[in-house]
Amino acid sequence: MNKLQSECDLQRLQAITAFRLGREGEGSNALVKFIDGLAPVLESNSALLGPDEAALLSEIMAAQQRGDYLFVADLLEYLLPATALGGISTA
Amino acid sequence: MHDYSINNLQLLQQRWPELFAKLEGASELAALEYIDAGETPTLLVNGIHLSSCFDRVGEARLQAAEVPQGSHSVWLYGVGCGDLQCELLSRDDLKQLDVVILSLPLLKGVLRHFDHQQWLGDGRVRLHLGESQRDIRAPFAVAPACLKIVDDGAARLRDLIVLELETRHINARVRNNPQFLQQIQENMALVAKEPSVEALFGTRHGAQFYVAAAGPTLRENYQRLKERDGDTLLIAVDAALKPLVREGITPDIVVTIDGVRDHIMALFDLDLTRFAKTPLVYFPIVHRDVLQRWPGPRYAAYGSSPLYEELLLQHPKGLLYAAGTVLHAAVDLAVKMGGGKIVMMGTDFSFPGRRSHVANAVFCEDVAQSVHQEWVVDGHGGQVPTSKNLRGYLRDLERYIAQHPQVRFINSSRAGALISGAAYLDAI
Repeated sequence: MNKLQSECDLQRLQAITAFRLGREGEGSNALVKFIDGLAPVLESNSALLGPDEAALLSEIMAAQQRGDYLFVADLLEYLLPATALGGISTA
Repeated sequence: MHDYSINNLQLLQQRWPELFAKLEGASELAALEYIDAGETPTLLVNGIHLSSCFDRVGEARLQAAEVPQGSHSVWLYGVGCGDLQCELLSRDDLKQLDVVILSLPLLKGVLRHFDHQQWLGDGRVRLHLGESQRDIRAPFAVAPACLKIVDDGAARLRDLIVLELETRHINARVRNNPQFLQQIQENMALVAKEPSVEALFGTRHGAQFYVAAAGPTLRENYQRLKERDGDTLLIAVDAALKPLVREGITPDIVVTIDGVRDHIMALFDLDLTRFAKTPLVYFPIVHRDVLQRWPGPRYAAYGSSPLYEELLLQHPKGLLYAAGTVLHAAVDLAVKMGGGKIVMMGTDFSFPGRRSHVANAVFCEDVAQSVHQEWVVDGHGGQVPTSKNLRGYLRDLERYIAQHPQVRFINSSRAGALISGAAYLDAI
């Protein structure tokens, strides 16, 4: 895992923990950084963003929008690693 | 799907008969769904998952870990699915667990769908209604999704919990903002030679003050402000400047404390010549361009933020209370000047009429229903939309008011948030 991926994964884990503890501001901040961290990787390898991955990212954003933060944490922790994005953000 | 209501409610009735009676009278949540699609079942309430769908126990363990080991007495806010209670009660050294119910309709739902007998039957547990709690108690744990489903009477408590959960993060963001640190450095020389806000303290003992913020209901007060006598001082926050001037009203003192340059410059983007004798009270985080535009005398003040700790030692100045909003500083200035009665205008902490600000304020806009799903109780006993930030500012102001019983605080409008501790202008 390179430095960018490591930072990306750190933000994902921070978002998960913060959301589960009710720290929405901290979690949202980490989530934004996580998404920002994914962007350059996806730009250089667009094959990583298939329909499943795009749908999952949309679901994450929709859950965050409605304030369903424990579900955001679930998606980041349990579903995202099972997609191609998991290769970016986890070891 | 099993219905656990009978056993749960029997236990509740035996131990807390009064609470049971209230629960019987509570309404049912319409948008409640039992979800069993993941590894562990949970409830979906108004689009909010009450817990993890994959590992409820692991989640509860993480939440419980926020409470220091060895704590004998712990407060838990929100009932949730019951996992957090069981996790905390598994600690041998825990002697008392005070569980605070934030929503009776939600309690009905979780008692139906999950077996709560283990913790309800534990002699260390005491149950409370959120409406009976004036302040949060520590150490505490939170079932965070329960903060989204709250009875009106528990709204204030919810806001205090949210404030507590977010404060550390907010402080860290301000403290670590390089732009703000640079602006303070650039203002050092200016701050060193300018008078302290302390020069204004104690100069108006027992006087009446009007404090004007830029909430939508400010406009209800224009006539009163135009007709004010010379003994009543008007302190305006920066955002209220433009709408007041548009009405021909000149504040006696203006307060500004925000470090975002372009935002604040827009508030001061008007003909300022009428303010040649009007004091501007500012925090050193305010951009120098803003300060240099002000034609009148300036008074430096510090907030309690760690940002100012070093500066306070080098160049001592007066302190003003401000927990995120300039309104706090304006109110504290009125108090420290000696105010005996403080009438707050446009201090809505919400969006009455779905407007963000009073007309002619720089950032005045319509507030869409979908953007802000939060609410506070208004002066009529209804709900008025707001944002989490505004709610936090409101609760901090209420705490401030409670700490100053010698001052009479008046809220000029019922359309905005009810401010605990402030009487209504139409009721005095």
